Amino acid sequence: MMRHINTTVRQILEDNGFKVDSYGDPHLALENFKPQYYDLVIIDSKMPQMDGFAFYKVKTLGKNVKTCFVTAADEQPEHYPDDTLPSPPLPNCFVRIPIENERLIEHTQEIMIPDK
Amino acid sequence: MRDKKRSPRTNIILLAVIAGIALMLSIFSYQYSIVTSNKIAGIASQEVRSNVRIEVHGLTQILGKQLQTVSALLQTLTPLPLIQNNQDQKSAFVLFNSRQNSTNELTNFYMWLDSNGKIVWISNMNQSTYQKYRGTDLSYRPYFTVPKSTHAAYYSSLIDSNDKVPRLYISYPIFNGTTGIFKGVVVAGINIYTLGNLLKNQLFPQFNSTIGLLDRNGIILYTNPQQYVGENVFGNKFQSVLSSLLRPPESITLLNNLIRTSLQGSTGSGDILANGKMSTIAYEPVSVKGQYFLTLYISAQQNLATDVSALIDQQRYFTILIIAIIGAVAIVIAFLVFSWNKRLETVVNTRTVELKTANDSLADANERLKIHDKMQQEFINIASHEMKTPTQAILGYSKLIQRHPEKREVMMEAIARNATRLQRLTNDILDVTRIETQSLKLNVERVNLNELISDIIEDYRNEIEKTNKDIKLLHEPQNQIIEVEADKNRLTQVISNLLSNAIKFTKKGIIRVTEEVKDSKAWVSIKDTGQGIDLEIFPRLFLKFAAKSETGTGLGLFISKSIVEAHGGKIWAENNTDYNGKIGANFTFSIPLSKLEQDKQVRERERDEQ
Repeated sequence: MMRHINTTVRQILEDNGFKVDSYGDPHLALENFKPQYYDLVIIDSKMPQMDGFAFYKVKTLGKNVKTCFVTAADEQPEHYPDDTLPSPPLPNCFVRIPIENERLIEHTQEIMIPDK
Repeated sequence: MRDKKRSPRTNIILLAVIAGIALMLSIFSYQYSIVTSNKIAGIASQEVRSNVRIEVHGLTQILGKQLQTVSALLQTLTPLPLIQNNQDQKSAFVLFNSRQNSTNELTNFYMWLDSNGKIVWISNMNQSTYQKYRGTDLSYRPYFTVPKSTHAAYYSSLIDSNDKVPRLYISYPIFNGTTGIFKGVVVAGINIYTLGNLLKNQLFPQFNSTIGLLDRNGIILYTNPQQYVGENVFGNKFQSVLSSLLRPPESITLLNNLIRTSLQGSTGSGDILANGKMSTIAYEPVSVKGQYFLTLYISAQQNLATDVSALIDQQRYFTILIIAIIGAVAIVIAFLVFSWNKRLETVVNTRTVELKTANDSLADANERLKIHDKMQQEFINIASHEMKTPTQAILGYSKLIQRHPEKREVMMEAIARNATRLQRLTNDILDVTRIETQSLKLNVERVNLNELISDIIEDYRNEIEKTNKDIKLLHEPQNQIIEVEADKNRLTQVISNLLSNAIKFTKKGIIRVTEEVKDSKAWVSIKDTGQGIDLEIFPRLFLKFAAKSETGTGLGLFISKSIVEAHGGKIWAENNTDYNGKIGANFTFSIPLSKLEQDKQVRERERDEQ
C-alpha cells in the first residue's frame, strides 16, 4: 500500500481501537501473513510489484478472512474478472478513496460486523 | 468469389475463334455459291438446250410442211390432161403461176420440162423472158434425169442454176396415165437464200441464235456467212475455218461428230465450247413424204447461263466480302469489348485497391481510435489514482494532525509532498492542454546547457539518496560550453522528466548523462541500466497516456517531445545492451545551438580546415 495511504489508514484504524499490521511491500506482507489471525485484510488494489487482486488470490489460503480493496479507480466491481474477487462477493468490499476518516471507520465496521 | 478475370491468351483464343468462324462461313458460303451457281448454270444451260431443240423442231416442222406443200403442188400437176398431153401450153400459165403465188415465200418458180428436158413453161415469166428460156435444154440436170430414171419424186442437193443462183430443186416425173410413157418433169426451184431468210424470220428475235442447213451429203446449203454455201462441211476449206474459230481443238472433233450423227438423219443436240463460250447446237432432219431431204441446225450461245454464272460469281464475291467484313467487324468489336473489359478491369482493380486502402485506413483509424479509447480509459484510471491518492493522504493527515500534534511536522511534510504531487499532475494536464491547443509559449533565452544539466543532476543526486536506491548518476561536464537558445524551465522539465523516468525504472545501476555538439546541434543523452522500454509501449512511447508503471500518467514523454519539437529539435529512444548485457534505456534529444554558438562552430571548422 502506498506509504502515505498506509500510514494514514493505519493511524485512523489504530486511533479507533483496531490492532493493525501494515506493509508497504506486498511480498513482505505475504511472508508475514498469519492464517486464522486477522479479521480483516485491507489491500491496495494498485500496489507496486504486485496487483492487489493477485495478492488476494494468494492470500485466500485463509478462507475465513474478510477482505476489502482500497482503490482510487473509477471502475465498478463488475469490471474486474470474476476469479479476482471474493466469492461470494462481500458487500462494501471496495473502499474508494479519498474517503473521510470517520467514513473509513464506519466502512470497516460494516464489513467486520455486518449486522451492525 | 470466383476469379472472372480473362487472361490475354484467352482473349487471343477468342479472337482466333471468331476469325476462324468467319473464315469457315466464308468457305462454306463460297462452296454453297459454287454449288448453287453450277446448279443455276446447269438449269440455264438446260433451258437454252430446250429452247434450241424446241426452235429447231418448230422450224423443221414449218420447213417440212412448206416443202410438203411444194411437193404436193408439183404432184397435183402431173396427172392434169394439159400436162399429160403437152397441149395448150398457154393455159399452163395459170396452173404454174397460181402454184408459185401460193408458195412464193419459199419457191422461185415452178417449171415444166418436156420429155427431152427442154423448158416448156416457167411460172411468173413475162412473154419476152419466156421466149428467151423456152426450149432451153436442161436434160442434163439431175432434177430431170433422176426422176426420169427412178419414176419417183426427186429432192436435189445444192445446184447452181444458169442464173448462178444456188437452189434446191424438187421434181416430179410426168408419165402418161394410160401408156406409162415418160412425158417430162415438173420442177420447183427454191432459192437457198430465200429459204434461209424464211427460216431466219421464223426465229424469236431475242433468242440469239444462228441457222445452218446441210444436205444429206454434208454440203452446206445455208450458213452465215454465206461464203461457205456449197462447201462440204468436212472439206478442207470449212475445216480450216473451224480450226481457226474453235478453241480448244477438241471442240472441232466434237462438232464434226455431232454433224456426222446428224447426217444419219437423226435428231439431237450438243454443247460446243468455242473460245470460252458454250454454245448449244440442235439439229433435226427435214423429210418430205418420208424422204430425208436436209438437216436444219440452230446454234445458240448459252449467254443466259454465262450471265447467270457471272451474276452468281458476283453474288458469291459479294457474300464473301460481306462475311469478311462482318468477320472483321466482329473481330474489331470483340477487340474493343476486350479492351473495354480490360480497361474496366483495370478501373475496378484500381477502385478495389483504393477501396481496400480506404478500408484499411478506416480499420487503422478504428484501431487507433480503440487504442486511443483504451489509453484514455487508462489515463482516467491512472489520473484518478494519481489525483485521489495524494488527496487521500492530504485528507487523512489533515484530520490526524489535530489528534497527533506530536507528529505535526512529519504530517505537514507529507501533506506538502502530496500537494506537490497534485500540483505536478495539474501542471502536466495543463501542459497537454496547451500543446493540443497549440498555445504552448516558450520564454527563449541563452542557456548554458552544461550548467543547466549540472544543476539538475545535483538535485536528482539528492533525490536518489532519499530513495535509498543503489544508483550512480554520472555526469562528466564538457570543457566546451554548449549554449542553446531555449526556454530554461521547459528544458529543465524535459531533462528532469527523462531523469525521473530513468530513476523510476532503474532499481540499481548507473544512469549516465552526456551532452555534446553534433551537426550544429546540442545532443543530450540519458542512458540507464534499468529494465528498458517495454516493447508493448515502445511504438507509442511518445504518445499521450503511454504508461506502464504503477505511478505516472503517461504524459511526461508526450510533453517532453512537444517541448523539444517546439525548440526545433528531435527526441528519440532506444533500448541498449551496453552495460554488461543489461538492457537499459537510452533517451536522446537534440536542439539547435544558439546563433552565436553556431557561428563559433563554423569558425572553428574553418580554422581546422586551414
